[in-house]
Amino acid sequence: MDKNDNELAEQVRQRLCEADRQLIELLGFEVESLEPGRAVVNMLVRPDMANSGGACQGGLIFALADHAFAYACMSGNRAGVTLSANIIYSNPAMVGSRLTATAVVQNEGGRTGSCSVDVSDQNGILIAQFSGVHYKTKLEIVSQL
Amino acid sequence: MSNKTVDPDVRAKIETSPFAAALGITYEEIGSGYCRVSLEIKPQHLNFHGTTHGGVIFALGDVAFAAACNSYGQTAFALNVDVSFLTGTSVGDHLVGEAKEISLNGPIGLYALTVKHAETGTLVAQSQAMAYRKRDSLI
Repeated sequence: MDKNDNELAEQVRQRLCEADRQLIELLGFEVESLEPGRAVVNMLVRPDMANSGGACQGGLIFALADHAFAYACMSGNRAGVTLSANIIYSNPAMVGSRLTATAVVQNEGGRTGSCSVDVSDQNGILIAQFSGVHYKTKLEIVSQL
Repeated sequence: MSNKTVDPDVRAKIETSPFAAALGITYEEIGSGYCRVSLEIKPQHLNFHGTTHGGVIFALGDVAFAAACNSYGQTAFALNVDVSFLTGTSVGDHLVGEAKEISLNGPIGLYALTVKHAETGTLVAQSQAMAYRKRDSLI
């Protein structure tokens, strides 16, 4: 991991955030950092994110983890998609809490990779554990010409 | 899956989900251990590739799952969900999410979730979701 990899990851972060602008606004995601193989994304749980029980909808916690997962997997400048994922919900996230998803790539091959994501709240309580398989396309995110 | 109809107050409570409303998800049918929902994909649902964000697809199945496992009137929440994404979708696509109960044993329920193209029935994503039902009443 050298300075060039870090700089590239930052360029990828900027390009992805630009393209994801509408989605990020809808879901309230804030991409805090992207380093080679590691991404951190935050989210404040708003009232319109609640399920009928008053806690953050599990689907949105998945979306947060999946977003961090995707950024971590694409940090090397190859566009890709989530093939499959598993999420375990550990504790509820109440409205008003600030969630942080930290994604770390575990393994990478030529076309696939795996990555784990922990989602915690502002008190360090584990909200969910996510792990997924990523598929890499041949497309670059930031042109290297 | 039981044939009992869902208590109207339970149904009404389920349908108040703020998150479902925020995403634009419509409840089509709620039965005992069953739910079908729909969503038209809009620009704000897209990721960097111009296809629907996996989290939105998951959320569609998840909203159906939440309704299905809460349909008996006991508060239920997700323990563990597996999902596989099979094909991409984009703006203008009409998707249907469905949750069907596979097993209900005490507090543990297992549900099969699908997300499909409404017109063709093409499978977009498939999930298996486990729920825990508390003794608390939903309403």
